[in-house]
Amino acid sequence: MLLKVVFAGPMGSGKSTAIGVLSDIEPVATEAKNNERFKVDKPTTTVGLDYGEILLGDAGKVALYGIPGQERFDFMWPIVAKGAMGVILLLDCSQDNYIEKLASFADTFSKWVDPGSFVVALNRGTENDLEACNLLVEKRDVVMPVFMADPREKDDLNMLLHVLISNAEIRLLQE
Amino acid sequence: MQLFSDSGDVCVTKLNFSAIGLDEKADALLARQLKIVTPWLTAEWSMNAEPEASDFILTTSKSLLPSSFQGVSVLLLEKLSDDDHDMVAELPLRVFSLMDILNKAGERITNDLSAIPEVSAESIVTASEKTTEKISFSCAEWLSQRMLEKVACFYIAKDKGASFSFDPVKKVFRSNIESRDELIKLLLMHPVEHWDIRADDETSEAYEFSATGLLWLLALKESRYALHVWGSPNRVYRIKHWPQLAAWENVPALYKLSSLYGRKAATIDTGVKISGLEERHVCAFLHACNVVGLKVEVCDSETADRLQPSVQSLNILQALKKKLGV
Amino acid sequence: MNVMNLSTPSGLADVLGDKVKEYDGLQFLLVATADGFLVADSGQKHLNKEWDANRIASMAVSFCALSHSMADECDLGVVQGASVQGDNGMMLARLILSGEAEYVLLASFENRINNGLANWALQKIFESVSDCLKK
Repeated sequence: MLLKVVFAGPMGSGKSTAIGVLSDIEPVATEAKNNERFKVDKPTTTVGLDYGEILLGDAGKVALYGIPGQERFDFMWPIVAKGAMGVILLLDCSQDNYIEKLASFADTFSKWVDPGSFVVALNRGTENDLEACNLLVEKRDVVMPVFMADPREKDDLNMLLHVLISNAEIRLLQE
Repeated sequence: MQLFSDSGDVCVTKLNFSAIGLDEKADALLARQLKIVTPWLTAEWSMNAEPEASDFILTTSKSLLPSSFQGVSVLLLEKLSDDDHDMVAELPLRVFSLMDILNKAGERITNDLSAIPEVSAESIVTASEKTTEKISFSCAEWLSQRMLEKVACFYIAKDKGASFSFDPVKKVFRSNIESRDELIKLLLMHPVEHWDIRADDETSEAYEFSATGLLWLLALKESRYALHVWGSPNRVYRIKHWPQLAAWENVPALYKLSSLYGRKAATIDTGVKISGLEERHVCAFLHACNVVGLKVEVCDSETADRLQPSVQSLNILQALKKKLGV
Repeated sequence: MNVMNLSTPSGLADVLGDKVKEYDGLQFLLVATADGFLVADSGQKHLNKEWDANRIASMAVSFCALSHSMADECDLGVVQGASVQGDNGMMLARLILSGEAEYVLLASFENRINNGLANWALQKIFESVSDCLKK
């Protein structure tokens, strides 16, 4: 049995980091030299996908996928999101346009997962950032879980996975 | 255990207790704690300087008990172990622990019970049973209204030293009570009409608590009020925003309720079935969402779920939960 | 879509244009940076359908990166390139290392061109493009 969880978000939001923290296997990465260091100052960026696994013994495993965050790689997004139990959108609130990114990713990924299975995780955010995101989500007349979370912290990531689990349980129990 | 009869009357049995092995400071604190909990005790307790003449003794060592003493005693320990099931309490003695101990000792003395039940930590959702909660008043709602007004300082228990204030800029409560749970218990124990409310903050409150987090926990405990207000079987509810469960209260059942009422409009009954909680606790969840401004909508009917391929088996979800330590 | 203003190495567009003319059955050529930006392209006008060179450049880069990971996973050693075969033709991608910079070269051939011929043509184009990028 395989569950699939997708990490989405713009470049530099911590997708590869999150998969590295959660994965029980050495993550598979498709990194290339980053030519956009004026946008996000890091040496490399994901251009294909990131992949990791949470191993659950006989019960199966959870496959963790990270998308390349730049819009020029948006062709990868539906490929990766297909059949996902949920999507965790990571946003770095210190990036200027993170609210626009939330809107854009929410629009795109809502085609493949329902709002409850689309969890928003705000890194380096304040309560005001949280309010702003909740307001944006409310304006779109959907209810998306929005949390503060640090992609380097396993407890935070576990909490995000817990939200996806409850959502999946509700879907199962109601069928 | 019920502290009050339905009419609100308390018992008037007079009992006394003494403490052995505590230092002068702890003794004085105990006397102050007794004053705080007196209105919520099922018997009229007083402190007695003579252990031999006491109905009940709190002691740090059994060897300190007078040889002639035949009554009920509780052992006070620095640290409880898993083997300690009966007749023990942890130091420092908290106000609520003292209340529990005295009520249970009183029950045992008056009813001649064979043992004092264990003094254990209570879950957040069940604690409302042990408070003065009123069916028609919500302390959490009242406080959230005050938060919209200017800075205020609240002296919860006059002359008892318990106070707190609200900082609208940082959106935090500051209190001289160190523990958030302790503060919440005090808030629930002392009716608002007995508080001393001032516009100026003259206190020196050292401890900070997130305002929404504290209101959330407070509201979760007001289950009787919540049941009264939210417990209509025909109404369906939906929340517009998710609560910050990790920061406020990390209880698995609340994740399920958040998922349910976030996904679709649903009745209280559906919430009960999905979460396994009692009706009043589901109501308390909705009440808490409402108090912290998560916007609870009352809808006309249960809405259909969005379509998404579901996970085929609960087993793998259970395995994942286990792995995550949920 | 691709908003980055990359300076195209001088003469690269001409080199690609010449190669498209030179090799029979070569539909188009493009060069992209390793992080998915189009550097130069030629020959897309030969195709009937609407064609976005920027998008193909990003796809070629993802494709190469995934191929690289697959090869790594299967212990295939150093990866030079990857290929896609379809009813209407084939595409060959090739990694180019030029100093510190990495590029991806993508060539598309009509279906009448056999594998050997396509790979021979790609090698020649690779050499010319590498020389041009080194300048």
